[in-house]
Amino acid sequence: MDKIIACHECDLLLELSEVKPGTKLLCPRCGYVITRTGHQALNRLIAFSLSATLFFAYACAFPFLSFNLQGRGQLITLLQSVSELYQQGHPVLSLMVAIFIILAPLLLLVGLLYVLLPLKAGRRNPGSIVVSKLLLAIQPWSMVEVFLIGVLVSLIKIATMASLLLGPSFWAYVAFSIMLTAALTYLDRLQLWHWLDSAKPWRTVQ
Amino acid sequence: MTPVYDPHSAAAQGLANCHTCGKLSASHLHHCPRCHSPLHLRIPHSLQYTWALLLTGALLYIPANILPVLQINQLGSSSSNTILGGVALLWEQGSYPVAIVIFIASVIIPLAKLFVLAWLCSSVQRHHQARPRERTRLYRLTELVGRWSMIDVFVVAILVALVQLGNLLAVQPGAAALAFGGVVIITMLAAMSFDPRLIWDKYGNQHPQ
Repeated sequence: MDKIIACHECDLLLELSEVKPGTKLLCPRCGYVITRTGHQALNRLIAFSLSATLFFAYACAFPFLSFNLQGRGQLITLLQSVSELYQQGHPVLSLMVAIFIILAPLLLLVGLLYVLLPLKAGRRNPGSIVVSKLLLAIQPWSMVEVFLIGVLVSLIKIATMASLLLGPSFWAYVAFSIMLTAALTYLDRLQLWHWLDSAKPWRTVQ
Repeated sequence: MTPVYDPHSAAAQGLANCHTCGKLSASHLHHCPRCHSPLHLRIPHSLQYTWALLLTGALLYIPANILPVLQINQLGSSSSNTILGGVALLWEQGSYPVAIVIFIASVIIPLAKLFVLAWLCSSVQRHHQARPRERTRLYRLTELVGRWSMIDVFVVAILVALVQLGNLLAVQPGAAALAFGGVVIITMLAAMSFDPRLIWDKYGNQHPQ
């Protein structure tokens, strides 16, 4: 990592000695987490991102929620929740749900894997810098865990009128949420750029 | 207005910290040499943007609370709820923990965010020097909890997408759902546009702008 850095939140000039894996450095002045390097961070990031992607695929394939009332019932998958909202004439609501619970987390995962996998071989994919910038910008807009709480609240909210049932996809989405959160705890801004700095492009142009 | 940067800050040495990749570069460069993001000592017009977004958020907060967020049609009769009405209903049904969660996420957090960010902006403009560490922490907290306000919007989205049985039982979103979603997005943008490093800058005797 760079020797001389500045705190992201208070601009204090700092000199970094060598950062060992498994350290968490706080700004001595404002307490901001300057860097947090986990043990085996790259391996774990890749492992958690891969399993998150698998669970996400699983979560898209099966019923997410269903409900029953006097013998009549309905069932939706994750993607249908977006298309249902659109078909009922609520395009903005449908777009918000699509971005926060599907597009942002999915882009985050695909982007992470695109940038991180070649780093294992000490290489850098073309466009890695642009993708990394995008990743850091998307991160706050992925609201997977907020959505899960929303699902649980809606179960209770409608409980007096009908009973909602959680489908297999819901549990896959829970697993996806845990894996994504675990992956992101190993994503450290300074470390990511340090990895990119030390990796070489696939082919060096003579 | 030229702030007098704290002597321990990177800005005082003419070094700009890249927002995206954290590389320090000479501030006369316009783009970060590593990631090509625009480079500046402080986020340009940070306070103006934050104030504008806060004002928009505060205005949207009014319809978000006055208008119904959810309309439930059951066997010909329809009932609609505002956000606070929904919390009261959950409380009456005895779902106290859920009522408290929704109350905190939908009422307290957005209001607290608006007030805290407005106070931080005005504290910077008044050259408030006391307790910079605590103010920075408060800022960090508003950034951290902001997204949790989306819970209610997701509840509406889930119920509307799923519960459609015609006359038997059907759920429609109210106008407040969009307004409230807007409040959450706009206050998140406001928190992002505020530059906490301004808290640590000193202004000498000059007045800002």
